[in-house]
Amino acid sequence: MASRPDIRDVVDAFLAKEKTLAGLGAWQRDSHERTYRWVRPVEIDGELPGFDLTVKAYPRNRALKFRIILAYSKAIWRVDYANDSPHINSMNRPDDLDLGPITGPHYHRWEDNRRFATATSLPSSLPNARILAQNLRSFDRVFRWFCGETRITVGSRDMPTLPTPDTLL
Amino acid sequence: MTVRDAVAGALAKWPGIGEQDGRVIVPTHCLYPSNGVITVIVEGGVSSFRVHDDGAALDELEASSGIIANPMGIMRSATRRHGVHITDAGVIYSPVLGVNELTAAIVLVANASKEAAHRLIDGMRPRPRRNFRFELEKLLESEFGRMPVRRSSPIVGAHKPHRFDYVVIVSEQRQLLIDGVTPDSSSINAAVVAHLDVKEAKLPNVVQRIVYDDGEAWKAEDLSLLSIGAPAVPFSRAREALKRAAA
Repeated sequence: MASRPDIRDVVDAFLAKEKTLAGLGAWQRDSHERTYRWVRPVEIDGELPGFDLTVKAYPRNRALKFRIILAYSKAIWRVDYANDSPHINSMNRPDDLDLGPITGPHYHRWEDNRRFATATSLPSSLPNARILAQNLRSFDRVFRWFCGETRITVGSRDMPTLPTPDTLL
Repeated sequence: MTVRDAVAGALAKWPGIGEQDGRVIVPTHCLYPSNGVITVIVEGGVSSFRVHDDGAALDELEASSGIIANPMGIMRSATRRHGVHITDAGVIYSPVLGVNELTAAIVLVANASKEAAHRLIDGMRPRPRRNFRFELEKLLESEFGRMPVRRSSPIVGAHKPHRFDYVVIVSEQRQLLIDGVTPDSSSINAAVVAHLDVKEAKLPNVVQRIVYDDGEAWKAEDLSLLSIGAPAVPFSRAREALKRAAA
């Protein structure tokens, strides 16, 4: 059997390519009752290489709270949009990153956490994060920004609408 | 400035408590596996309080995109020694207590949430890549010109009936039983047991194959185990191998 490629190179190559979203998204209740999940596989050149884009919503939270996760079995890029979840970076981090604490919405990008992956496995968590820019303070803006950063082309039909307690009743 | 002053100044910059919808949000000095600061929520009135983590330990698992069997059992086991409770929704919470116990309750709930999150992350397995089965199904459709029968009626083996992921009716004289497997023990064991039992039954006109996702990391012993059940075929070579098997 041919040797498997270095999983870090697989992720690098995936992120470098232009991509689209496949299938149709629908909100589903997550494994516990507070959160909802919207998942779309990511498509490159008509194929699904195994990456998923997930949005997690917290419709019972009064303040805006959501996560956007790009995963290849495990999360490789993530936005944590919340004002009540501070974050501390690892001592093992890029030179331009402060240790923190980061007190507002932030994002965990692959480039800052690639160092925790090995040739055969991705890290179980993404310890390094950056502060989300101040102009990104709505779900639509953050979603489009996230897709831009990860080179996912978003059509008008690809935009999820965050559920509210009313829409889920 | 003394060292003590410097330390005091640094700690003063730590996020302070906040309030939202009548709930007090307390950032602690504990960290989740993601390096997120553990914040606990205090709710209550003048003299009685309850402390909880708002389900954040379980949320850590989901933010990592991992899955785990029986997360509630793992959380209960991880937190039992702290004397906290867990709701069915995964919220770790303290009993109702007085102001004199509030400090300790904040520390206990935060540490219980931390330990639960670490146990969940350590025990998680990656969410299966959704495309493997989808791609296998597409391959079977294109190769055999019709939709493979998924989860067919049971095939009776030497000891009991089994269902297979796909049964392709190649001709009246030949049917192909195919399972797609990923490198986790439940997927491997289910396929091997079913294929082995049907193999022992020595059914005429039945050809068996196990297609494994060779985009994943496999232990050599697991690949060997697959071969005990049926010839194992890497997905990257499945088209040619299945064509030969069906011939």
